[in-house]
Amino acid sequence: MNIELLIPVLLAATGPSAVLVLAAVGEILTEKSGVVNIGIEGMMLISGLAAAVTTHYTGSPWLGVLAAMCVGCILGLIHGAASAKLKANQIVLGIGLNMFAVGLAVAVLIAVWGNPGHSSPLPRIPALNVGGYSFNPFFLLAVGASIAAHYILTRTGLGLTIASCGENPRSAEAMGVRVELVQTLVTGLAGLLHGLAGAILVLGYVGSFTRDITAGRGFVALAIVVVSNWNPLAALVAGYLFGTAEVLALTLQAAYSTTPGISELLNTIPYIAAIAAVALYGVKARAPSWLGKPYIKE
Amino acid sequence: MSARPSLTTVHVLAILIIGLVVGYALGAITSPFGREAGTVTITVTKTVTETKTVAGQPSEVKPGKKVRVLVLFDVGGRGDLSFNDMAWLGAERARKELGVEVKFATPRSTAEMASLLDRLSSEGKYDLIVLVGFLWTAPLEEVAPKHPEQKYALIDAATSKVYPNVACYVFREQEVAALIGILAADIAHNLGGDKIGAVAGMDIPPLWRFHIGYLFGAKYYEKVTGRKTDLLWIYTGTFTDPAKGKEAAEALIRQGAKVLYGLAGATHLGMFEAVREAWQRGVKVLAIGQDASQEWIDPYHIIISGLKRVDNAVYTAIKEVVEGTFKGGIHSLGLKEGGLDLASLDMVKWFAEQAASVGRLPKDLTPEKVVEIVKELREKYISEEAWKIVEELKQKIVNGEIKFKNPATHDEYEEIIEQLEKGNLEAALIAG
Repeated sequence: MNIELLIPVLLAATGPSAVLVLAAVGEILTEKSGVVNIGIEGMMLISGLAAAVTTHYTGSPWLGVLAAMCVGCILGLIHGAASAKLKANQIVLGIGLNMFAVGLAVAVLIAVWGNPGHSSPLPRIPALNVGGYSFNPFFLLAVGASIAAHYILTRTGLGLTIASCGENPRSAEAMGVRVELVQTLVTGLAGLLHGLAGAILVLGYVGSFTRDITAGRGFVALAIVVVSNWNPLAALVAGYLFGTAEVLALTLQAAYSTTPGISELLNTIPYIAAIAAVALYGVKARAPSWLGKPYIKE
Repeated sequence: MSARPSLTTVHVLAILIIGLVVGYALGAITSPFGREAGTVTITVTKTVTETKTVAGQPSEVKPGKKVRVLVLFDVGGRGDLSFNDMAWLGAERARKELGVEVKFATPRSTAEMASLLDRLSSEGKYDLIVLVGFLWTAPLEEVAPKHPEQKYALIDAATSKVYPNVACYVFREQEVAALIGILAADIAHNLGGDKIGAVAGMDIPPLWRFHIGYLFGAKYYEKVTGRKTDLLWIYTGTFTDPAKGKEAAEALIRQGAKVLYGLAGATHLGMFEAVREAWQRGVKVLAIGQDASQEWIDPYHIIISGLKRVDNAVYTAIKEVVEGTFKGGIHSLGLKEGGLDLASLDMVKWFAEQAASVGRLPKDLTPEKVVEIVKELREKYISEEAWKIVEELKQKIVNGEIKFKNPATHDEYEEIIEQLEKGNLEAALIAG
């Protein structure tokens, strides 16, 4: 693999990584506040669906993105409120959301496009042309989001407030922080990013909606959160590396496709990379102390 | 930390809701395996039997009792623009040409497939029950032995055992892939390249057959015209991930592939998008679809499709019952039996019309316009010479001069590919 091939790979990875980075940054925010959301997959699917339906009826992909962010935010607020206020089991909530999303996607696909598999082609937000190769503009948004999240978490009082809810809600409460409200709002804000990730997948990358379009990316984002040790900038690097590994694996197949037996092995490269990263850095990672535990006032 | 609160109304409610969601979702989860993944799932809006009796014209075939046929669709039913719609087309043709009475039904979910089949079988009202798609295999194996008098036809799948009352129809994918390989090679050269590509799903036997056929076609073209052609093949490992399909297609385009053959169900929808995007950057590449005619999705860039003629399989199954030649076992369909084909402009039009009727045709297109665009595309990028080579190979396949091997193991498959890469065409064929 020479350098002329590597640059296009790095550019091509911007599309898939933008989705992973935004989903992971959103998850970092909620987890910092003490709420775990394993329903990213379902949230991305439902908001992607909202993006597709809106674009189908209005013809405007930008409205589609907006709709996806709204839907993502609402789902985030619901998850946040159910977790923080109603003290529901957050893991079960997430699993339920993932399962519900699949059923909803099928029902809406049949209602709107008359088949359970996929939507018709949709108008989409085009990629940029950089020297004859495509560059996904949403990647810049993902970079911006991770820098902003990092700044908020490390340099502002708001970041301290969020982190205090996840580390020691009792002390936070004693300091006058309304823990339940903060957790709910932060999860809603994260939902906005998850919704954006879903919209990018549908309108900024593939150009149509299919039933399983998320294909496990929500779970990869969860892994990225751990690998990055809850640091948004590290998540940017990890998400981009994962996207690059996937593109690289496919490129290697295309470049050396004489031996079909090797394909399955090459397809595991991104996952092996993820496991290796968790093994190397995950041990040092420290989750927020109160992560996933409902905080119950005395 | 205080103790957890005792079970409250909120908890009870939460458990109830979660139970509902989980129950609903379990019904929705099916096993999307192998074929057109987008069509394998649950219908939530339709009721059990969307039955429609269509009286046929007076039959000349059988003066006595009219032959009665029931077609059971895959879950999802009509409107998929692929398997189920093509099965419907075949049954309709049988109704018109053979004068049989046809009924259609769609199961609501995979869970009720076996019980629905059992009930309809025990009624004994039908001379033949046609089952469309892989998902019927397990229910059929459960029900068929219980009703030895009932005849069944299973389309695009085979039971693990042979039953005297079950006729299975499977396809010899190599044959259509070989024709596509010739056309792809020609298109690549007309676009100024010498590489063709494929975005494949999982590394499983039907895909091995496609791979062998496609590579054979390209090398056959190379042998006849002397134009060297290479195949770049990617297994994405999935039939349901269009984003990965797009990544794979972009990788192929970067490596210089000029034509991409989609062999991955919903995954290769992303391939179509990659091709469209490449044109926007000024990179000329074209796409080829598979199973149904997919040109209507993007007629400016999808030049042709390989067809799996589910309609002909259904028609043949019905015909054999009408003519009294029904035989249990596995029937393999290829070019000769009309089980596989290249998408003719008529087929392109029919699928575009079906897409338009459910509002899925892109808004600025009409079926006529789709045909016009595709026709122009084909005239521009496929040479007369290539069509001649296709016709020649097709003849050889139809008259049995060329018979493809069907590899039983991965090693055998790899060996065939390796030999084909070296230009040894015989390696893919059964000698004789």
